[in-house]
Amino acid sequence: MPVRRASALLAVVLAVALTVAANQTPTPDVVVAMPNKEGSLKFGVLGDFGMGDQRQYQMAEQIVKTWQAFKFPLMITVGDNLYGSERPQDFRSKFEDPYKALLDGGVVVQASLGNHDAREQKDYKPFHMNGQLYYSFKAPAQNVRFFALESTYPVPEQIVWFEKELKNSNEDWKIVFFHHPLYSSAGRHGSDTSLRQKLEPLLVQYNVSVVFNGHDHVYERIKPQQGITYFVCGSGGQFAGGDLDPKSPITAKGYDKDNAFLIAEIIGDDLTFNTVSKTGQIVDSGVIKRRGAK
Amino acid sequence: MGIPRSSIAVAVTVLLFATGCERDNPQKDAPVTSKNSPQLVERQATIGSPDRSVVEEFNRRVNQYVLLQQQAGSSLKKLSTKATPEEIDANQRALLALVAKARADIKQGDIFVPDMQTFIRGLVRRVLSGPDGGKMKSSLMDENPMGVKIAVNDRYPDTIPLSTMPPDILAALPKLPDELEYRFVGNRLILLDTKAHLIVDFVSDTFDI
Repeated sequence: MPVRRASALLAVVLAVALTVAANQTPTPDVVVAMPNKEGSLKFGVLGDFGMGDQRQYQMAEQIVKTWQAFKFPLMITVGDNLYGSERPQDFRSKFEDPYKALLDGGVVVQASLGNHDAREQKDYKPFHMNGQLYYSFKAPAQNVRFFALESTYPVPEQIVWFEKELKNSNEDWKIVFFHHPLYSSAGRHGSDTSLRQKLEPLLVQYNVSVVFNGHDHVYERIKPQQGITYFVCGSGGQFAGGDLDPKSPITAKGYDKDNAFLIAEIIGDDLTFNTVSKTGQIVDSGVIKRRGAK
Repeated sequence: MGIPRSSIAVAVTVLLFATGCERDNPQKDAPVTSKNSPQLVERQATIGSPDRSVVEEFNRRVNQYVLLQQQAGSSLKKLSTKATPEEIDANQRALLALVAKARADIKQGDIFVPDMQTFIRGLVRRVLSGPDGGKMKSSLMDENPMGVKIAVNDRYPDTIPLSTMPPDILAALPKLPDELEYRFVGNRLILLDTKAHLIVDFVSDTFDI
């Protein structure tokens, strides 16, 4: 019967189509949160996110899902927290609304500023900058100190301050975050070599283990440079598909196919990290040993 | 053996005329005198640092501005550490209005006086012509659009990202009080009041695009 044949054919086509679709749609990984142990320091890293658009909100949903499985109490931002206008309502639509669950859940956001951020953000309470463009703070767990820099305006006083803070820091882990990447294989901006000249000697000298940056709208983990691991986490809302140089010799792992953010956990001398895409795929993971660890 | 002064005068005049002809509309938004013409300025400023008196005069004018800003803003309620974005925004706009009113008669070049403009143009060009100048310039021009209209006492354009300042340029410029920052808008170096979001003054054509 022609009708039966047509139905059978349709069923076969449908089955094939579903199979193909199932293979093409990324199956979200269950975010198995690393060790996810009591007493560890858990934190998230987010950059270049404050667009107020659908992409940012979708990424934010994934961040919330991840947080539900891996309750990080701290999130650092590597700048470009708000794009475009910064009217009061923008703070809501580009920050407070998308991350409401995190903020309501007590996640403390410690921000650094990017080139799209107005200076007034330093006074915006939920960013916990206490009116300072650059600052440092001791992490709520483990022996860790974070240093937030303001890389669009690296005045000599800031460099002097940074060296003093590093010198006075007794913490095992020194983690630095700011907007402009000292190393990046992205085509849009790439490595900021003049900033690198000023900062890298200090990072090396004072045993900084990890540096988080943004600015380029991709994810990239750089092969350790003089012992330091650099991350570009600039696709928290913005996205520059295909912007990474696939032949870059400095890339340890890159991801420029979708938005991503990073979660990390420190226990003793180990920092474990997962980089999670907008669809929940773990696109990079690993363990970094603290510099100077025995 | 000295070169006759008249020959130098002729040469400078010819140079000014010749280079002036290269531009259709030199420094459209900045009054330029023969004294601070960028073409001549470039030659003068590469000679070295500015006189101490130039920097002192600049600092004096900057401090005068800060005093004016503080006085103008004294009537405003001090922002608490718990200020909301609404309060921060309202405070900033109110401060801008008060400062702009208090210095309504100010002109471009009143803080960056001609000698200071000369120094700045020379400095920027010198840094950008160094070995890393190309990279520095691209970093500086990154998301830094040309052709944006700016004026003294205007609010810094909301949709324009802040330019990234090369550390070498910042290190060579006179230190500013906390209320102020140097930034580039296109190839213009502006003095930005970060509390009022106000363009205090600017120098045009600090480098060639």
